[in-house]
Amino acid sequence: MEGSDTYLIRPNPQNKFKPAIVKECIREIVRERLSGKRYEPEEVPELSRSLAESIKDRVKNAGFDKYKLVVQVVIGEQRGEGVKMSSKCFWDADTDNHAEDLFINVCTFCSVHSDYSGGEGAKFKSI
Amino acid sequence: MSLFCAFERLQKIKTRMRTCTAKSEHRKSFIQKLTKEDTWRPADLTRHIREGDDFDRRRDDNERRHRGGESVERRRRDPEKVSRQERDKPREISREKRHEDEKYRYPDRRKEGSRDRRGDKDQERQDDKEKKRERDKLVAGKRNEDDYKRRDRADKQEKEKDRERDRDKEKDRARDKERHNEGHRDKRGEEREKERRSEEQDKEHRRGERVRMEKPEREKRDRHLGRERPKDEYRDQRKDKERRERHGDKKDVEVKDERERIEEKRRHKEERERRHREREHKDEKRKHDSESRENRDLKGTGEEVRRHRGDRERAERDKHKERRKREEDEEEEPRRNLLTDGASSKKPASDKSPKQDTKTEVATDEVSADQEYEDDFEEYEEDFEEMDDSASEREDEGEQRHPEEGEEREELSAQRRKEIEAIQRAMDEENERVGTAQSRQTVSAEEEETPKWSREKNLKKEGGSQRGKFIDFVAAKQREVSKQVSTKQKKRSAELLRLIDLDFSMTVSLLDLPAVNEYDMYIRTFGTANTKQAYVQCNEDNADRDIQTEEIEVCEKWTQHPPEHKGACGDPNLSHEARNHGEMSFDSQRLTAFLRSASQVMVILLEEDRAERKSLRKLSSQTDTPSFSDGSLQLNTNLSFLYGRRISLVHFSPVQRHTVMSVHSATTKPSALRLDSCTVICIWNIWEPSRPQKVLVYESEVQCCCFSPGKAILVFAGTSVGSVAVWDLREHAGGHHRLTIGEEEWAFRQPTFSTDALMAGSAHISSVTSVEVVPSTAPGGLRPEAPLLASEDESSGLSFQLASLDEMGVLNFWVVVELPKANEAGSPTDLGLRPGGKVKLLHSSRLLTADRVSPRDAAETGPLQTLLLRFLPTDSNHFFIGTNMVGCGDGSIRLHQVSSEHPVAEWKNGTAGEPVVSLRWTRTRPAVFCVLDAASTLHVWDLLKNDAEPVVTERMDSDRVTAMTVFGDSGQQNMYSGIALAHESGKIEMQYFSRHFTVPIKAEEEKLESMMAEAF
Repeated sequence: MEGSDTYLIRPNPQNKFKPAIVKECIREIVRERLSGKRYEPEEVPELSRSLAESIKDRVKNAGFDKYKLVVQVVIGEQRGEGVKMSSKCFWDADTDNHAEDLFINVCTFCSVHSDYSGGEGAKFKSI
Repeated sequence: MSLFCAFERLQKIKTRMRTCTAKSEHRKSFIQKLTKEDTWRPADLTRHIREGDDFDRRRDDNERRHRGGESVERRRRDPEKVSRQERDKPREISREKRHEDEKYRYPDRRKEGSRDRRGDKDQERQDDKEKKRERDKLVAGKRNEDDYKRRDRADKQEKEKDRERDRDKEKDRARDKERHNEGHRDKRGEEREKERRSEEQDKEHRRGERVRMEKPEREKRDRHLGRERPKDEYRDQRKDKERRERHGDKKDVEVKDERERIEEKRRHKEERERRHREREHKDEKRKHDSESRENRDLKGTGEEVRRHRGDRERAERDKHKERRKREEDEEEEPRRNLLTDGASSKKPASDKSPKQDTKTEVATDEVSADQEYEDDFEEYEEDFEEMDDSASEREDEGEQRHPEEGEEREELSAQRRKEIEAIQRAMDEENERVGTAQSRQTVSAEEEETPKWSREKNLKKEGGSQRGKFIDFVAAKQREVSKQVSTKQKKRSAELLRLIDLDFSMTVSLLDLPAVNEYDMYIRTFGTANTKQAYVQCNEDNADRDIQTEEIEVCEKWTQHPPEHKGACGDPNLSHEARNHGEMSFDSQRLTAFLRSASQVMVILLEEDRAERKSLRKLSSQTDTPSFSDGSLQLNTNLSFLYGRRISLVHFSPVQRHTVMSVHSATTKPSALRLDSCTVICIWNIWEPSRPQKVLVYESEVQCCCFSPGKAILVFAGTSVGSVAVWDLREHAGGHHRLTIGEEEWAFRQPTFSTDALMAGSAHISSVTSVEVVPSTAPGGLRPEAPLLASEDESSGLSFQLASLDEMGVLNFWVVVELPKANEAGSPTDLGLRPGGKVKLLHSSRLLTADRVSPRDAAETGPLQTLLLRFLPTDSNHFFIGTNMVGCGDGSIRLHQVSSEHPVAEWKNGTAGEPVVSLRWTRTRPAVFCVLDAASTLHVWDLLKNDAEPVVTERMDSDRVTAMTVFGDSGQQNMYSGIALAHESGKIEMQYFSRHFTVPIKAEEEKLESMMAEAF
């Protein structure tokens, strides 16, 4: 067991995280779920949770093997306040990536989605 | 929030959870043990009271046995080992029954669990003393009530946020706790008393026992609290969840998803249980080994154990103090506890305490029902986290209850108190004994089983924790497993991190939504809803363009009508004026010239028109037209100033053939006009017969007159007084005397120059009979050239000579001089010059012709009268002076040749004896001449036809003809010839010759030649 571990450090190229595809996923879901909605403070927590869940499921099915996904959904109300959001990750720049999308509703609704691959090395195979 | 941080934390929490579960399981079992012991005491107590004192001994033995066995049995959990005492049998049976129930009602086990628990509680209470039961019921009921109330409220508030709910619950709990504490205050005091008492009795034992009871728990808690808060937080969450679940269980109406969750949970639980059991089995085996080993150790290392115990006791004493202090503090305020036992260690417990109160209650209930161990185990597994915290309190409670009972007993029957005390003492002793035995066992067991790291870290505490450890093999196993996993992960990460470079990704800006500015805010609040300011007009398209046109030039012009002197228009600008002035002057000159000629033409045309009408009328009325005449034209002499005047002369201009001059002699008849004594000379244009062009007047009688050569601009006249007068026809009419006669204004021109009284010595002293212009001296000058010469003369300044002959035969030659500039003031030297006149005569020579007259002639005819002066056209040096001899008074007509003395032909009786007044050759036919005799008979001779007698003889009786002259133009286009007859009445009649007298015939000159030849 000791010292004989082999690790699969890099994902297959076809399995690599592709922000464009993920972004499309996000966009699709978000557009579908959020278009025409108004900001309801009671609904939003559940909504954001379910959004994140569905996005995660979708992205999981997109075939990015050995990735851990972190989905963050932020929904806010547009009331004129300035909002500044940014994210930072401690990751392996070669393999990890992120995709984000922004959906702004005309009426007091703003939602941001970002999607990250695992912050940890995330792909390994131990024998 | 950094995602990574969150993730990391999550990981951490998970791993910690794992360790937690392991630990808490361990702890849980320990707590069970503890609580069992605690709860056992009151139960035994009651039984003991009931059965009596002699039962005491037996029971103690039984209990001792049972406990020792039970502890072992519990660990093993063998269903076969039901070798229980009789007293325990009902419990056993109930437990078995429960097992069966569990099997059957497995899906509803959860729900039933709580009910059963309650049921068990009741059962247990039935076993207890009545009063105690009652009070328990009371307390429990109250609590249950509270619980239910709270649950109801929780149900209502289910939709609220967890935090809020927690807060509410906490409040409730705090209230509960307060109540609880209050309720216990007295009891505690009593308890303390009791304790004191018991301490007195067996201080050492009690303390040791308590230490044993407390220490592991405390140690565990310490260890537990040594961890960070996050665990607690997580635990909180877990607790909340569980509580919720429990609430859900107790609720009659179950939410569907909750049920699902519960199902899931149950499944998990089962699994866990199964695992747990397996592990327990394993542990059992191990336990056997360890037991044997322990036994060996016991013997071998008895001293060591004792030493351990001594240490433990010392530590326990301190702990005990602390605990008491804490109990006191708890009464006051949970927060105060921070001070007592180290801030970090104490705080979670104290924080938890309100929550735990409810738990503890449930837990105590559970614990009191000792037969439902299995169930409890499950239950505990569920609430494993609570246990460690609640354990202390439970312990306290246990202790509290214990004195409570005692108190009651005191109240009820003080006599039994002693018995109870004794029993208690015995129990304590027993407990101590059991505890020491077990602890001895567990110490060794734990030392083997507990992971190395924990032992290393907490060597000191290990001793205290053996009591909890000695039943918990599962947790140890788990811990080991988790440790293995963690080490494996550690190793993996260590290896991986060498290969993988982790770095901080670029900061990705997910959203940067600027704050709405004031204007947008304004629009949003006060404008239409959901509108957004998209565009702002900033006047960009409002460009300025201007067009500049050239300024309008303005200049002043003036015009005046009728035009005054220089021009008819102009403007104040000088340059313009000058130019205009020049133009205007030029224009005016041309205009006047044009007008002059044009007006003449127009006038002529009009005159023609009128004359034609007149002549037609005359033709129709007048039948006595002369036979030779082709038509006649009458000059309009029917003017007031010409009325009654006899025409003495009619003269045609030699160049301008249409200009005719008539001299009207002065009239004797008185007239209104003062011109009566004056001779009037009228200048006519034959084409304009209606009125004379110019009227000239002279005071004396004009005997002869002539035109200037060339253009008829000058008129010379010789008067009877011997003066020669010159009229310049170019003079403006304004400078002369004007008279308005009738409707017309006439200008009567005085002579421009007259020789009256001038040059007395050289001037004529007799009347001038003839005035003739000396032809220009050009040697080869021919007749046709005359107009050219004249024009030249005119242009060159009118330099020609004039000859005048008077009756005395004095011939004067005058030079006609035109002054370059007229002097309006008159000339001081030329007295004869009229002011403003420009033409004057200079006397050049004087010739006496009368001397040459032969005396024979003079003698014959008396004084010779020079009558006529004619210059030979070809040679000005030769001139003829007609005398009265030529025009024979007897009426004979003679034709003379210049070169011969004798006449070429002589016709007598040509005029029937009448003297010949005038004889003129016609202008167009050389062989035709006209003779006028004094009897006013006109004879026309045509030598070609008849050289003996005149062809036509016309006698005009009605109106005598006083003067006659011929006119004509031999021009090719318009050949005309005629005779002008001046009648006595003053009429001037222009008779055009008929064609045969006008058209020249070739033979005429031959005829004349032949006649001359015949004559010589």
